[in-house]
Amino acid sequence: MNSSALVVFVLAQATVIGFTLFFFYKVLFSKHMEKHEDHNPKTYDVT
Amino acid sequence: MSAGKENWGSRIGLILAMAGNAVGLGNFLRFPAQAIQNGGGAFIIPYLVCFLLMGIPLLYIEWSMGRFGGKFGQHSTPFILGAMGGKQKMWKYFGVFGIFTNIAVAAYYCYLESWTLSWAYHSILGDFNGMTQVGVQGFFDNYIALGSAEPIIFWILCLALNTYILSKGLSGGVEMAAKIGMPLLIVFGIFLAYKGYATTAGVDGAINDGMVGLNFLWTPDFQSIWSPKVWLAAAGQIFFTLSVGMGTIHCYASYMKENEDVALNSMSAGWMNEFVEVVLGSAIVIPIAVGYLGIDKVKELGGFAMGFVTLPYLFAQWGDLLSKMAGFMWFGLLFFAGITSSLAMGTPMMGFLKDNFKWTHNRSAIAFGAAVLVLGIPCVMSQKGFNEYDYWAGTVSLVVFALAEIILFAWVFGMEKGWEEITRGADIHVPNIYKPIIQYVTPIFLLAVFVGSIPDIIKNISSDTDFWGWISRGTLIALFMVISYYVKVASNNLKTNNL
Repeated sequence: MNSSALVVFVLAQATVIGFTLFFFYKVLFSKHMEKHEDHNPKTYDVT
Repeated sequence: MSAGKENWGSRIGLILAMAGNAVGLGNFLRFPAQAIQNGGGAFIIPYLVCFLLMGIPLLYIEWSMGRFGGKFGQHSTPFILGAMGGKQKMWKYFGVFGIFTNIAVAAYYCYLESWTLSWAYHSILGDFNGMTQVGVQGFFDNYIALGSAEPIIFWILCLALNTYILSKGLSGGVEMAAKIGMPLLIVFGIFLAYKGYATTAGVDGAINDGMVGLNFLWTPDFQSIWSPKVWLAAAGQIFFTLSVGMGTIHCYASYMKENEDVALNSMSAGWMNEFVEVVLGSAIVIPIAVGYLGIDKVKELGGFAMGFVTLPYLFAQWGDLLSKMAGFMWFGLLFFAGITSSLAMGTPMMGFLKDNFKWTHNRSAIAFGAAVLVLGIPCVMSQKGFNEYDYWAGTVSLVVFALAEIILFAWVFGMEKGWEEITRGADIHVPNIYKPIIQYVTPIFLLAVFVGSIPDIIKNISSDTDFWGWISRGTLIALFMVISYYVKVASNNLKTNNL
């Protein structure tokens, strides 16, 4: 692989893998991993 | 079962379902082809800029709009937009796009999805082994020309499977499918990406190393980033890949709790889609195809031709067992990518029928399956019909709806209230820079995409087509009018009930 392709390839992959892992880490170690609860629909004028 | 009582079973299930909605066939077939045609490695620059300035803002607003609508028991865009528009009642008619697009896109998308099911079936049976590339091309041509009953059988099977999963509900059907499909998709993708990287010249008939393909794909032509055409292509790819401007994200998010995080969830799902596209999508088709066929031949082929015609032939070079496994994994991966998206397309129509006409879950799932079956006929019968659906519903409608929703969110609902919706319950800090981006930059970006598309729209309006093309155009107009009519009826019902 030529050097310019290698630089773009590494930067693109590192950016995408880095952000994906970062956000999944935040989700998995978040305080809010509990089960979802029912919400109560409210009446509202959406007409 | 009423729509208001449904919800997601877990946070990870919601993220996987949202990521599954976004990850589709385009991640593997469209992205590498777009990159090659638009500057190679340099394409990633406008692509990531469009993701930051258009994709992320649209993810934030669609997630928060959906959660906002869910507070009022609304799970489809007409009345989600209606709620945000306040006294301006016209917004609910812009919301029609959020149902129209999904039904129309599902009409042709489910047919494509059925191809992947059929190809996976033939791969595991080893039917492509021993075929020449011309033989695989002949198989493909015969298939799309409906040379046998098989395409219809797989199409109906695929529709039945979608309808069945949708009938199982959000948590038991859609979420379960995402929890099974997405991890398998990633495992299959990693295996095939490894095979792509490991392609070695002189082994199993390969003429180049896998690195030659990666070099071809990633070598940047920096001059290309000054071309408006490249930016339009990058913006278009971001639209397709994130499934923004469709109404599916609103629908999924409407089943969240009122104070549940949208900021972190939307980023997790969005970046997971980018991982599948940039890391896996770029590492399979091009390295393998260049490894066996060379760069010149790959330039001649489109993404779909490479995916359905070239790869089955190339896999066959890997020996009996490995070729069956690779073919099954490749088309299985495409099938999982497809079905997690088509399931998302079913939910807005179902939510609309359940919320406003008190239809049962099963009845609305069957109605969606039946609508897709009938509306899919022109796409099955003719390539021109297929193209009409893809262009008007799968391209133009997305931009129109996204432009409308961002104006509504930032300028009608109001940026202060909108920002409060995005940041309420957030598990991460949302950078303040996104406030002016959402208010000014993204609308200008979308307007530029729309204006840039106008010459193409005019060309398509004035272009002639065949019988099925005209049927498709008529069907799409009729579909939009029928949905608008039922939105009006539902609106009148709500007024009556409020009185």
